[in-house]
Amino acid sequence: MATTHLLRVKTALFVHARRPAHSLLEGEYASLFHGRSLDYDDLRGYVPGDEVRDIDWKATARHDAPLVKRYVATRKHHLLLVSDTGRGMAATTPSGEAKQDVAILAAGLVGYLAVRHGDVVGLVRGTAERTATHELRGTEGHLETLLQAIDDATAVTGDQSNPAAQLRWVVRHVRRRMLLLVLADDRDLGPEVEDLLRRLRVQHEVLWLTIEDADPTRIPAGVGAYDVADGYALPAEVRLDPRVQEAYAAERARRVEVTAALLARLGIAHGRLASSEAVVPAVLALLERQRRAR
Amino acid sequence: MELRTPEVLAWGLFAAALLAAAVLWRELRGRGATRRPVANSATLTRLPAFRAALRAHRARTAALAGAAALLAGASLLGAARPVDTTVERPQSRSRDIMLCLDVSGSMASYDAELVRTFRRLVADFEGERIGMVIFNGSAATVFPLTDDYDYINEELDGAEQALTGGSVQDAFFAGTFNGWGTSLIGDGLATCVTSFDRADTQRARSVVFATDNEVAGRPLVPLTDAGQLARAKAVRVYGLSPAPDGASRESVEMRDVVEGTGGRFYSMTDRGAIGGIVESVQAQEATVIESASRALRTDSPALPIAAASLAFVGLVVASRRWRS
Repeated sequence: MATTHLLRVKTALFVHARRPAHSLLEGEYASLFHGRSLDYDDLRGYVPGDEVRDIDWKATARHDAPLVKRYVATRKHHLLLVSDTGRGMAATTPSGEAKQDVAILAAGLVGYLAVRHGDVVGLVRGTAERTATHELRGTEGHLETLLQAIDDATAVTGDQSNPAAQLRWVVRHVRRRMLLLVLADDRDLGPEVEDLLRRLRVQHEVLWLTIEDADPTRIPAGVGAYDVADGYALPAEVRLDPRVQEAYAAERARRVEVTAALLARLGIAHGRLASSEAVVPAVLALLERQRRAR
Repeated sequence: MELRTPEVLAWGLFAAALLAAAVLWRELRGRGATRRPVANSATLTRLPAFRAALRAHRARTAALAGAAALLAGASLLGAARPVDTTVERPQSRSRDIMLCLDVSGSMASYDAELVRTFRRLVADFEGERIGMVIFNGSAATVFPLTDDYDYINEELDGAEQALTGGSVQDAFFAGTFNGWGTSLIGDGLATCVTSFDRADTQRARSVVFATDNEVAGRPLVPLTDAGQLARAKAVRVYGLSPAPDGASRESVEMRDVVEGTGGRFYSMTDRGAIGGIVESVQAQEATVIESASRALRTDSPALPIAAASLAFVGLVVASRRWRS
């Protein structure tokens, strides 16, 4: 692969740099954590998203713009990317991209913010059958390795997806408090997932990103559509039937609502990703929601 | 059912198989390129609306495929020209009957009855040939010897109408006034006797000769000569005269002539005269000649055409519903 995954993340950030999103994201990410050291590092300009209590009012008074204090992080935070690499993630999003690409971009974005913040990033990935883990490290090189691992593990011919498998692994094996970023398949979350999440959110900060599935009733007739789970080809004449489209739209809306309600009930910030273009604003909104939630 | 050109069917099936293989190959090859993988489509396929649409789709596809196959099959079958073969052993009874009617005014009603009787008899005939000659001043053939019974019926109908004073009189009697005089009996009988064809084959030939034998003119052939001609040709003449047997010189002459040919003389005063003639004619042993059997092969495209039409309608209906 000529371009690295991290380069794509940086490019996505750069595209948004005209808007204040870049620094906004850093501010939002930094505000996620309670703990601050008392060791003052330096001052920097205020960006929306920074905590108001971080503003150095005296310094601001001597300056023409608000300034916030920066502290030396005493504690490294732990970001754990939890990614489904089952064949469900090898399918496409509504925009036609592979779901795994969107997931990798989102994971890379948050991971990059973490690395910039001086935190360490780890990965739990897997399918319904198998779960693999990668250690926590704070370098861009390591982050790139993690993203590459997600990419390599995801294939249409791979194992089926089961989001509960990775969550169970985290429940069983992770003792330290972490920031979990779950990159999930777009499906109804069963009672098992709900139960696992109820236990996880007590111990960790959980961010949930659903990578949306392509809508088979909107894929044009000239393009075939088949399910990755069993290879079943959906007949164009059937999936493009207006009544089917209507019924599926209603079913999809119901699923989105039920999932959102479930995660809201558990106090887990949730975002949906339909394309790689939506990653930066969606992550921004997710971080914002998580900060507000507390 | 046989096929006239079975090779068309064979080639057609071969072409259909090639076409099916080509379509299948194209379908399989072009698959991966334009297909998009989708996850969790079970949420779609579980929907009742999807299930209903899928059932309808399958029904339509099956109907279309069935109609197309039927259309192709029926067309191929039709193109191969199915034929019906019937083996026929034509039997013809070699009995020829010539109705020889004197159409001078006095005889018309008797003629009409004779014609009526024969019209009824024709229904039972099988292989017998009937012809009809009328004469007055000259003889005219109404219809030659034939076993086309529909045609005979038609002609006898016309004759009956004309003889009972119907509308086609003039046309019917055309050609009977050309001789020197009227009622030239000898000419009439001679014409009738010479009207038999296939002189070289052995057939039972009869003439039903209805006349009063009252000559009013100069015939080319005297009655006795005509009788000898009949005897020479082995034609039996059955005479039918309005006068009683032996009542007049004419009737005696006629009886002599008629019996000289092996036939019989009947008087019309006798109620059973006509019945008697028919009996005698039928009593003659008909020589049954069996021709060589032959196979008749006729195209019978009705079934394939009907099936193809039905399939075409089905195809149109199914493809129209498809679009909706």
